[in-house]
Amino acid sequence: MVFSSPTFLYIFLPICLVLYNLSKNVKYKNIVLLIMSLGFYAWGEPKWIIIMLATVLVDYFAGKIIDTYRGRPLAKATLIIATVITIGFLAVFKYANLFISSINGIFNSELGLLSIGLPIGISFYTFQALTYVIDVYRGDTRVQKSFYKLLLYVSLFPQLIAGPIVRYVDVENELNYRKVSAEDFASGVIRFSVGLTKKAVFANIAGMLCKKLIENDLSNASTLGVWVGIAAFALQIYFDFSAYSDMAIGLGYMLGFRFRENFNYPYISTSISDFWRRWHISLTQFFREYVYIPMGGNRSNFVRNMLVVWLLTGFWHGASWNYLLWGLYYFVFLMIERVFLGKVLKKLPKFIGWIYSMAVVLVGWVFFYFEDAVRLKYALSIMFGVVNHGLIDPVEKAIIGNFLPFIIIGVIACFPVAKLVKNLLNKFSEKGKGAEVVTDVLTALFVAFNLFISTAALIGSSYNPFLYFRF
Amino acid sequence: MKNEKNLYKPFKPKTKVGSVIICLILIVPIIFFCVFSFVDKDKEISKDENRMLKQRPKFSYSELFKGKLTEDFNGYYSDQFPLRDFFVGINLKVNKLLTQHSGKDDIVIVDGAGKDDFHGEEAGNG
Repeated sequence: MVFSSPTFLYIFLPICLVLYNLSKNVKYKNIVLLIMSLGFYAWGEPKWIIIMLATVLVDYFAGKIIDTYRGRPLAKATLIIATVITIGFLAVFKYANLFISSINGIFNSELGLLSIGLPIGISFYTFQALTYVIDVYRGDTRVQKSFYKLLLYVSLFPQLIAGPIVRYVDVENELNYRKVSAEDFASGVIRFSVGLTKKAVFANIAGMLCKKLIENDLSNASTLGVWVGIAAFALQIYFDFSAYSDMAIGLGYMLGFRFRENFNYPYISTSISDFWRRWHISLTQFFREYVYIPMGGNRSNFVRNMLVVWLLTGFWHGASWNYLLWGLYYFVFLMIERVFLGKVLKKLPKFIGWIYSMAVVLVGWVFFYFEDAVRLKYALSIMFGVVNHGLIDPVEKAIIGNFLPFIIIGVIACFPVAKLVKNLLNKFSEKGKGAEVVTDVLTALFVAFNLFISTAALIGSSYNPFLYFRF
Repeated sequence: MKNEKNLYKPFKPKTKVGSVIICLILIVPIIFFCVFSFVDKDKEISKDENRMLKQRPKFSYSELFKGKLTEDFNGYYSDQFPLRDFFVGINLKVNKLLTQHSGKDDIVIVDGAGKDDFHGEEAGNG
């Protein structure tokens, strides 16, 4: 199931919230949440629930063994085996076919591809399960003796499908004790409603523009057409991904969980280092904590460590070689900034750093978007004038012109406008009771508007007119 | 106590009544539409879209396991949602405002004399 669907919003969520709030204590709340989360996961593709259950079982037993034999070789061996098995699930289901087809390509062999699909959310829940077993080994968290609580942590529906990657240690206490006031719940509703509109309206419209400009044959695409198409994709992926995090955080708050931010206005970055402190923060934190630092971090083999982390970061995003290239692309820029460019940028006006960052990020999205190497090369050639298709073509100009209102609003939405408005409202509401009431009325109207417009967008997406032509 | 790094700092309502109202703004409509959508009778056709609306899919274990049943149910639920035509209309208006397109994948051609739009064939076909 996905958040941005009528089934989630108008069947799952009301049932979940009613049952959850009727439950008299945390134990019953957890049972409700677990059943609903498993149902949420199974809704899309029921068969994959087995893989998730297996992953949690492995790490549950591993945690118990590690805790029992702490300090002995068996503990370390168990950690290694559990990690290999957990990552193994991910490797097989997500990457096996890529490796098989690559081997076929290199060696001209005809190995059969595995006819397996991709379990939904596997890239997220695998990492979450790993944070548990590794943190138990490190002594950063107590072992979880209850299998159902560990399963609840991994399968928690707000972050199961699309993150953020939540470390076990961050919810350990909340599994046992949560309190939600009306104020907390309302805060969650506000955040959830923002995410919903961002996804249902903004991300989807950005997707429409991107599709019109660069999804199909590029043989007529102009230079500006491809640049704007990639910019539309940049908007789409940001709105889409950050919206899921917004909704996850909002839903979490409604249920008593406090998750960390996963995006922090990445498109105002003034360097690539800055960008990666703002984009999918939970992923970079995961790699830093569980790969970079254990490998030596800054202290030894720094270049090798950075390379490994960025190749993994790229590759995590998709089972195709262009994602590895995307990771490598960022590694290069991060190294350049480390060596000298970072210091230079700090001395220059922030605006220059922003232009540089946005240019690098936009071109980066080209590597991300085009999985096919031929199309990737072609797109880059058009963008940089190597292949001359003209600056702009009339059809593309018309499309971009039509989408201009959206483009303007979309670009503005990339800036911390919401933060500014929140700060202004907070300051304003300090003026007195009247100001507080006005603030709340505006907030309530904002939430209502978001729900209304998002519902319209979600229902509206099933609009599928059958056109006929009168000749 | 969790360390505070990157922890979500929520925007909170300023009054207790405000909190309750905002909670209800989510809870009341979703419960209402949930109940109403099950009570409401299914419609067969959409005059506006000139097509049959999806009907309740038949249950089968094999379809459930393949994920097809839930996919069909999602489509059915959207097609039979209460006040569907109203919401579709709102969405078309929003799309028109932001993208000056009123359909899904059509190109809206506005000729120089400012005459009425007409829907052309789907862009990018073939």
